[in-house]
Amino acid sequence: MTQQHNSTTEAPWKKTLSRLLKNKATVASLIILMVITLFTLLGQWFSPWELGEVDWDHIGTPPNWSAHHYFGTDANGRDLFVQTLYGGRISLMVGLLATAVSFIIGVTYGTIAGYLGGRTDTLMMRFVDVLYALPFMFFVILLTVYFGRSIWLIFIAIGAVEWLTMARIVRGQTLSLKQRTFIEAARVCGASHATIIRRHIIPNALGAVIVYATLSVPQIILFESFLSFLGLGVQEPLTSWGVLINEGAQQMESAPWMLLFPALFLATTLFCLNFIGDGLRDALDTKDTR
Amino acid sequence: MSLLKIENLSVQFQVDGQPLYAVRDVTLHINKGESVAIVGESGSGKSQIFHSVLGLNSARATIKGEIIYADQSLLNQSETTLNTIRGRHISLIMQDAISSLNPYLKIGLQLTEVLEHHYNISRKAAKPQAIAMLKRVHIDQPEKRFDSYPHELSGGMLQRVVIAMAVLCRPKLMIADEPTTALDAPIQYEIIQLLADIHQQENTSIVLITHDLSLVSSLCQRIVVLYAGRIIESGSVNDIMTQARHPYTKALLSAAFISGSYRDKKPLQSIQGEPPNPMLKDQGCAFYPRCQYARDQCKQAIPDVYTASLQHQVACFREDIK
Ligand SMILES: Nc1ncnc2c1ncn2[C@@H]1O[C@H](COP(=O)(O)OP(=O)(O)OP(=O)(O)O)[C@@H](O)[C@H]1O
Ligand code: SF4
Ligand SMILES: [Mg+2]
Repeated sequence: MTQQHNSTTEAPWKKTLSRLLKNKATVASLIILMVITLFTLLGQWFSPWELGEVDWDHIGTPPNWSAHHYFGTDANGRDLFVQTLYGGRISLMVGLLATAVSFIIGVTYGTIAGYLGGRTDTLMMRFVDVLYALPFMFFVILLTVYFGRSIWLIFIAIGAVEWLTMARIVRGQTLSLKQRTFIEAARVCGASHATIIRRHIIPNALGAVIVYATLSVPQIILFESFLSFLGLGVQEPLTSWGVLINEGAQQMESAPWMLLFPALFLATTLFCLNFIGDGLRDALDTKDTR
Repeated sequence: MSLLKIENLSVQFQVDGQPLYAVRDVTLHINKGESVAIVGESGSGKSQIFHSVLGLNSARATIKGEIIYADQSLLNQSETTLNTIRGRHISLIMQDAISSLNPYLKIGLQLTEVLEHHYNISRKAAKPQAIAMLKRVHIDQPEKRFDSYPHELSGGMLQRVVIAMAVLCRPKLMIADEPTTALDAPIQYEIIQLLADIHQQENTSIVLITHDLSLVSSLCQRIVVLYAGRIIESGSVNDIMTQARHPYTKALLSAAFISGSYRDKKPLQSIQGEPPNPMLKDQGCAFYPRCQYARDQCKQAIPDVYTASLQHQVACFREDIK
């Protein structure tokens, strides 16, 4: 074969990726988010202070480089730099884990409902409607008051709400995919329902949910912060940006740095995640480019 | 020797609480190695007959009758059993073949998956077979096309890929549901030629479902004409093409003839009168309102089948029409 292979084969997902990488705001957000994540993971190397360690010589001091309190200390003499980075770990983890949990539940549930269709579908989606109608915020608050503040409770509570929307999105996608000829063609070739779901339905339904999932990470982080603000967030010695912001807000006048740093990190992270979500949506928007 | 026996098949749908008669009492045998054309206008039930064979009808369909493939009854068969037959023993090229490939998956993967499923072999082991089959259906650079996505191929090439997929497991029977409708005339001819090749070399039985009588003769030995869900005439290609007896078939042929061979995509539309209404329960001959030979008798009862010559059967009261 002497003919030149000039047209390179391009996977549809690669096109999406290249479109995503052309979006400057998204790329910048990705980089910033990566830096923030690295900071929360590795920041401890740069500080001699430990989480919860009290520096009796520096109580409530503003940022002080000679004492290695880069972000200052709180009213108990604990280093804010270290608290911010540990708080970031928790905030990011809550956001990512709760999203992952609801993603898995939502995708499974939505695919099954949409694929089976008929009465099963109606029943399953009614159940989702019922859950939607429940005042979850109220439940979470009740649960935390009753069981005490636990990070697992927060995961579960948030995950339990977030999967509902994902299930709805995936079900809608599945319903429309099911009508596509290639699904029937797969059946004609003898593919089982399991193969069809795994190979043809889920991969094609994922695009829309991924956008939603990306956008729900900041929502969840914010929700956790809100719980913390109510005093229902994670418990000491663990901390989160929400907890820190809450403490900072109480000392806003005497020690503004206590609010400034965690708030800055939280706001930047939320911005970045939203930009990434928007970028993903735009990149996925052009369907089946022929 | 019959490979597939369809006996007294009826397919009904409920549409807004009313029955819709898609297929009415069809009996049809397909022999080993035979190739049969199923001809009829849109809505005459061509696709539904063969969807019933593979258990692909929508859940809303009520199916009656008997379908037997190699001594095994296919109606009301479990999905698991059907999955061992679909694609392996009986394959179907769907009417909208070009969109029957998943746009997000490489062609090679879609081909090897069929082999993986039916022969329980690895994707790697299946690859040479898949490439050989792409070559078999005259796709050049098969190795390269193996790694292509459907949108990178032309319509004619995609149709070949779909055919490759249908013959991959060397089925005993291949059903091609209007495999050429979306294609340009020269490509239509090539595709029919390809099917004829496969028919001869692999001794696969072929059912060609089509609107277009002009495509039939280079591939098929027998023609079955459907009207309003019933078989109204069947016979060898020669019987039908030169000695059609049923008024509908005659009209069909002259319409095809006037429109000038296969270039016109919708030759059947030039038959006078309204197409039959599938919502009506037929009391008499369904062609009665459009038939120029009709008599009073024709609307009283459904015409019996008479035998015109050895293979040639006609469902019409007017045995005198030649
Ligand atoms: N899922 C369904 N629900 C209701 N009616 C249906 C359904 N599928 C097919 N029909 C009806 O059954 C009849 C036969 O349909 P079928 O698809 O077999 O026709 P066809 O001869 O293949 O026509 P075409 O040449 O247009 O493909 C038509 O009247 C059609 O409207
Ligand atoms: S039975 Fe009567 S109406 Fe029907 S095709 Fe024959 S002649 Fe025409
Ligand atoms: Mg059809």
